[in-house]
Amino acid sequence: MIHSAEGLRSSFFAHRSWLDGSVVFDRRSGYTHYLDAETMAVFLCILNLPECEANINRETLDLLARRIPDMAEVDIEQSLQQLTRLNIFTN
Amino acid sequence: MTVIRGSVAQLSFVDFSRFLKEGKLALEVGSLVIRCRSIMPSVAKSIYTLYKHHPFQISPDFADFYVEVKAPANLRRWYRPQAEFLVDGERPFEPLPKDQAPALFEWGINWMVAASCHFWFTIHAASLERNGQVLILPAPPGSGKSTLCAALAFNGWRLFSDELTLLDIENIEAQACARPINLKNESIDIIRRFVTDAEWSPEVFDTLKGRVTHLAPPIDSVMKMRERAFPRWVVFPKYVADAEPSLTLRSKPQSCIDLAENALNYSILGETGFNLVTRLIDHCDCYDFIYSRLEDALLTFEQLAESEQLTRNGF
Repeated sequence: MIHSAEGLRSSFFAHRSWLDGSVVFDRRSGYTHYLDAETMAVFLCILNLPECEANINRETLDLLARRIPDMAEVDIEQSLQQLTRLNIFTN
Repeated sequence: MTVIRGSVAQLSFVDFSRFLKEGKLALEVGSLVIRCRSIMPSVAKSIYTLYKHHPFQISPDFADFYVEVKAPANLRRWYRPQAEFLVDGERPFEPLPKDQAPALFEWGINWMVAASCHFWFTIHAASLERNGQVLILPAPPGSGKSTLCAALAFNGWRLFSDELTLLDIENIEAQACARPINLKNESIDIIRRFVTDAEWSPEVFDTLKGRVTHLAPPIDSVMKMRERAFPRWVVFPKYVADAEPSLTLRSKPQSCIDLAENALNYSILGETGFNLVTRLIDHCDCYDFIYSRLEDALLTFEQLAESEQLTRNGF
């Protein structure tokens, strides 16, 4: 699945994290989402990517994997799917 | 003009009914002043019973809301008569059968606060205070929230609200209203056995919620209704028949989402609501609580409050 983080800006979101997960408020939609710790890590990493405006491709996945070495690529991909399901990304 | 003030019990029922009929009576409920009018004797009797210890004013210069319960001007006056609730001259919902008029007054005020008072963060939850700390009990209908709230309110906890928890949007301090507790069906009989010296409004049958009645708040809760306090616990109660009591820590982010879902003006407040609910969760310990016996519940919450008190005292 291709995930698009095109135009995504950290200013679109407010978030708060606890040990057992995080909540994210999406200023564009007004929705609040629960994210588990892994999905939150991927989300924050993407917001900090300089190439955030482009589609998340093979190169981006490799970059995420390098930046979050504790997570397997399959888990990163699942987190991306979760962010897409929540309409934080588009696909 | 000098405004007459006092507590409702200082008025004779005859005088009270006259002021209510003339629309001169204003009840002080928490920090709200609600000017009331009704010519219906059942409404007068119910308000007089349930708000006996609340302060009142006669013809004040200002009231936050003007409410009225009356018979609608239609042919129903003669065939299956009805009652309607008006707030500031508007009718927010359809009339109900006339025998539900006293309950309609309470439900109407709930609606009025939820729909208009956005200077508070309003959660569909009961709240009570002990040792200066507030317990919030959010839960869907049928979870035993009001039953538990009534039992706690008459056993050492100060009632803030059984239905709408009101938090200051600046500092998340909880605001008390000490309004009547709405009970329905089996809960009525359970609390009648459990709280023997309380005052009740007459029971109403065949409502959308089944058999309902209201229980007058304890006098101490009314006397202290202007004393605010900060939330300390968020507990999601669930009545499960024959279950042993179980209080278990709950995920903070999940509690945050569940509280937001129970907040009546979360979407209206937008990011302010988000910031508020996350601060609330930061301030509070969050639990799930399963119970079947009120005695167990009282003991559990007693221990929760006492352990907090010991911690605060440095033990």
